[in-house]
Amino acid sequence: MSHAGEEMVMIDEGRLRALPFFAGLAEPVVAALAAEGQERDLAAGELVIEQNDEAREVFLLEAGSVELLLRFEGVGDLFMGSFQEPGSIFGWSALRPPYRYTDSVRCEQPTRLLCFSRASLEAVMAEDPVLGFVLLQRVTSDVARQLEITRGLLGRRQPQPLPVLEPAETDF
Amino acid sequence: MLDRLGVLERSAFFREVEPEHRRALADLAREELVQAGSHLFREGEQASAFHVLAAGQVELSLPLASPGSGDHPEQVPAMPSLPTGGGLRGGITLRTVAAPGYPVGWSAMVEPYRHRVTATARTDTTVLAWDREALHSYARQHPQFGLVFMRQVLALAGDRLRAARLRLVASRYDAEVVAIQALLDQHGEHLVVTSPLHKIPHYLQNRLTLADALAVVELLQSSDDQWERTLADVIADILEGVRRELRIYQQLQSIYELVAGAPDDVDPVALREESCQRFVELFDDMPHVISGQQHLPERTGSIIVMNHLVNHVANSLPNRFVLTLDTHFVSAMLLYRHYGQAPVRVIRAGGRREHGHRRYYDRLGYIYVSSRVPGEESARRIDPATFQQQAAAALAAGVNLVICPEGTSVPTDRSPLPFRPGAFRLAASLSPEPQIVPVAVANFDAPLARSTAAAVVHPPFRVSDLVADPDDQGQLLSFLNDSLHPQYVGWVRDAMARAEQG
Repeated sequence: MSHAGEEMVMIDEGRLRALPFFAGLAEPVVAALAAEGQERDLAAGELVIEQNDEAREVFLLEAGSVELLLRFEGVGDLFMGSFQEPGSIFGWSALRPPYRYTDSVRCEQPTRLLCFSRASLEAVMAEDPVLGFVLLQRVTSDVARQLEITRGLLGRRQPQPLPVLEPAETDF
Repeated sequence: MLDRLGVLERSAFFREVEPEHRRALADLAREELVQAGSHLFREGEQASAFHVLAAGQVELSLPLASPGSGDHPEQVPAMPSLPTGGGLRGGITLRTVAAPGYPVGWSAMVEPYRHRVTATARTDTTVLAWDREALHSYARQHPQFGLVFMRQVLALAGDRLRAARLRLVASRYDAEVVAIQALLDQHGEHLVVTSPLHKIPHYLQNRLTLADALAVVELLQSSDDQWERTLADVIADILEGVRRELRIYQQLQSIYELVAGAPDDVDPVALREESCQRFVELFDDMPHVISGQQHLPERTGSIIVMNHLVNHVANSLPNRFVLTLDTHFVSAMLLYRHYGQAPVRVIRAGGRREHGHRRYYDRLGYIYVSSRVPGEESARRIDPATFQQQAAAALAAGVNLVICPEGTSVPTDRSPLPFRPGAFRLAASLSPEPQIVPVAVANFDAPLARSTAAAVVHPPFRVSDLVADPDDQGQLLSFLNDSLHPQYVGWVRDAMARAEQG
């Protein structure tokens, strides 16, 4: 995705520390990662990544929420769910071949993201492969969490009996 | 004797691992024998080892949800095995691993080091196992290997996540897949092995290749081969529901986008009308029955009350937002079409995390009432005076209000629940007193493309004509639940019967 004209803002390392992904990492490591990352504010409806595009960045959600879309031939984009929890990771296809995003992500509301380029992460991991192992492990852990949620929906999904969702109630 | 190194050398997972590390890992591994039918591990257990299949077959499955075990608000009752899976007793088969060298337990590599699935040997099986600590220790000693290895685990987890998401989308179409597979099995002897029809069930498993499935069917409907032609015709019929469901899904999404993505300066009245128009186009193509329009008052400015039905999963967008189809049907097909004016709905205030709900309804200028949202501790409070003022103003301006007095939604066969008094108290408090127009709806909780939905209008009334003192809460509730509610139950059954007759 091109973000021409957007103002790129460096990340304060204190904000990284607030996210579970960075918990327990040594201070110089967090400082180094903060130096590599950039903050990006996006408006509701704005596309963050597009399916099949080259995966050049990994994103952590700091505030707001984004929706995940899968595009199907002849059908269009289908909603697959949302990320709302600060620290949620997406765009991890930037860390594995063939480095293509497998889905699209769009902001549900005004959203703040922390962005790390593939090139900078690869450089950090090449310089310190032990750290690289830990970072990949944490990304994988988040992917596994998403997998568990998706499988949970799959397992509990059924056409009958209804209801599928617990309805909310009016107090009226 | 098992050739451990050979297993690793033939494994795609270990292809990027340097030969020296493959040799070391082959030495570090221990062999575990698992008898057919026994578990290698179960969901929820500590993942103390990384496993790779060496020989045999392992089925990975997801046990059924047990009450209270889910951590998702969407939790619903347990389901039987998906028809496309082999299906261990009481679980959903995710995958059967039969390729030597394929990892079957990678949870030992990621926190919280807990197995997310159950692995069961389908045949007598041998796996290679590495204790978590030993593998982590080896990775620390050989960081380049650790990096390569962990990248492979990420790729594996990512592939599984993508497959699970695709399957989630595809699951709603499993009935078609099973039907077509059965058809092909039944008539397989008449089809040449190379017939593209054999690919259809596989194409249907994946939304990405749905267009291919439809294209193959279309092509073969004019095949020179009689059997191909006949079967393609039958399959085309079976797939019609899929086509229609996909079309509905696209339309729902497009309406959501129209409303939620409208520029800030768009007038809610115009947006309501545009939304109604789009819903008319959607519902026009769907099987439905409308009757009793002669009971609609000549002028607008009434309170339309209706029973409220849950949404079927096939009709819902799979984010947390639900476009309630019954109310949109009444608003668009009944009221907008009849009066040329889009009504205003009285709806619950969205939950704190229901961004989709707010994005959509905020734009339409609907009137909110207090609500309780599952998963949220405190209710969303709307000042009753604000509601009264907004509702009175809308009615005075000659706008129809649509209200669901049950305050929640249920399936057709349980509808309606007892009524809450708010809508009726509102009507009785106003002068001139607006008419209450009852509408009974049925079947909006079924897949819209595969059932007939119905809406039936009944004669309007004024609360003050039927309740001596509407300010008396006891009298009002007695009328609602001893008189109107039993009558309404009959109306909903009548709507169901009319839908069945088409």
